[in-house]
Amino acid sequence: MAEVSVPSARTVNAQRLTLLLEEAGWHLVGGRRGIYNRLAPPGSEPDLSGSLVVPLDSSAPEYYELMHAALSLLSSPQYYDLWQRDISPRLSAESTDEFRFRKDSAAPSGLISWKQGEGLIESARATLVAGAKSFMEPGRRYYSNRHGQFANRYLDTVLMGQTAAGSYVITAYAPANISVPLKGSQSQVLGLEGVDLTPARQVSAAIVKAVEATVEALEHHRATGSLSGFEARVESGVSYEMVTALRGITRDADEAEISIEWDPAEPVDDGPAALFQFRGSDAAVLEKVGSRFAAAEPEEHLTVTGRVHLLTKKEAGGPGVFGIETLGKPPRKIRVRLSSEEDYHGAVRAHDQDLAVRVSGDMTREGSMYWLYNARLVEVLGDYMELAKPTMQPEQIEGQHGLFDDFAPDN
Amino acid sequence: MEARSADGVDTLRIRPVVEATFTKCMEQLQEGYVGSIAATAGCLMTRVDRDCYGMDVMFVRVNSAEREEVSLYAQLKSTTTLKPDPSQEYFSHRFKRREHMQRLVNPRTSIKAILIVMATHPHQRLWSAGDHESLSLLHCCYWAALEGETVPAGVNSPTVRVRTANVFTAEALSGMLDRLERGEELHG
Repeated sequence: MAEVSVPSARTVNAQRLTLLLEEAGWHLVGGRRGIYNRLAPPGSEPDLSGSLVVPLDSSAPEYYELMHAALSLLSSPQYYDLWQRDISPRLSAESTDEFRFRKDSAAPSGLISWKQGEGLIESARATLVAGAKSFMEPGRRYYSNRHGQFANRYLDTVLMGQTAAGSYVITAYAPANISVPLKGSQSQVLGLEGVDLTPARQVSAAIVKAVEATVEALEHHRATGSLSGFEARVESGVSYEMVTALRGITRDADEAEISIEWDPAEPVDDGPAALFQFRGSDAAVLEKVGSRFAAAEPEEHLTVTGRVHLLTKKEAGGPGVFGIETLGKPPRKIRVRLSSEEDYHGAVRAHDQDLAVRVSGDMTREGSMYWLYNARLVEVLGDYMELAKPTMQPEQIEGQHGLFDDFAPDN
Repeated sequence: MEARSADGVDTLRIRPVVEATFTKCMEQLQEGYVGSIAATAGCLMTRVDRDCYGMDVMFVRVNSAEREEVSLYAQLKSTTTLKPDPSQEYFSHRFKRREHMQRLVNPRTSIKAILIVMATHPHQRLWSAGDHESLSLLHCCYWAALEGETVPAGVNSPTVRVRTANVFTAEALSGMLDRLERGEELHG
């Protein structure tokens, strides 16, 4: 059995410990008000054997001795599961807000099929990320990679908890009083709230707001058959990314739930907790909404000229993808996915004979790679080496613009 | 000349029934003794992890809904080398380790602690005797409240004085718990 470390009695809050024990099924069997709580484990005899004394009066000279004794007992092998799963992760003095993502699973209680489990974790992550992006820029339907680094910094502050007994549950502990830098570390100079930093709690609140808005829109659709509720709530954080994440959670299950429990030490106006429920039928609706939002996105149309430096096919008989290295200075690498397979021959020929090509398509960025989708091989040009000579200017073509000028640098 | 076993029991004087478990049986006898006293006083007694608390048991008097429970820790010590003379006001008890005494003298406000010393007969076979009427146990448990006293510096095995009048009975235990409920100290 792994070593468990006993946290310092100085960092543990007695009320919090009592709360955690009660949540785990222990009950208050006695004590003295303001002095100590006596708690007994579930199913224990009324003779107080096995009961635990949690000291409450931190001004008492023996307070730390009693607290240390309580923690030692709870972290002993007898209570290993309880300690590891329910108590230890939530005991630290740092306030944490708790998200729970629950999906009904056909597998026995506490289990989920492997792939579904992976999918649930991915979707839970995607929900947090989508909400974080809507915090940075509310009112956007489609974020793509915008604010990806900020979302990552928020995610860095979040802990994933062990799943609880019951249907499969993923818990995310987000700090209530830690701040997340708004910009990358180099630009964080002042360390001021609102200027360089934002409390993680506010990001969590934006996530909850977006989930809630989506649930409302789903209810509106159930009542009226109209998807207009989603459009109306884009300002509240309903986005392509959010509906896609939630679709992942609701898919292939009869029921799913997301809940938030705010740390009681840092109360929230709207109440200590909220629960959002989804049905299996919601997945199809969310998919429809996602397609709408993606389709509505104005395309960035681009034409580039360059050398085919890479040819690749994922599977035999499948569509070919090729990579272009542009003629501009500095040369950029772009992947191209053609709308028509016939054009691929042209790319192969250009690759073989070192010919330059001109390609036109819808630009998007995935990670650090630029892509052209629905692309058309406009023209296979002459010898690349000739065209690349410094005397040649990049040709002015209508519709072509400076590749990387108009794109907001990602934070 | 005295011979002592590894745990300090005077091996020349004792007559165990089973030598290997003699010391453990002394503890068991004392637990039975104080457990009976506690039951008579309407208190529950629970064993406590000695390594954690420096105490062996806790007495808990659970009260009706209007009143809260009151509890008291006790460190149990048992010896065969002692039979206090009631005509003397005090007898002496020696702690094997300094920290045992320290735990009892440290100030406490949440839950108080007392020492209970049992004087036991060296012949194990004589420890208890019973018939239809009653059970008798040899010999006697005495209690002491040491909070506020000082552990003498540089002494590994400090000694304390215990009043012979402090026989641990149900009345004594009830009286202590009543005083604790009223917020009074226990010294005496």
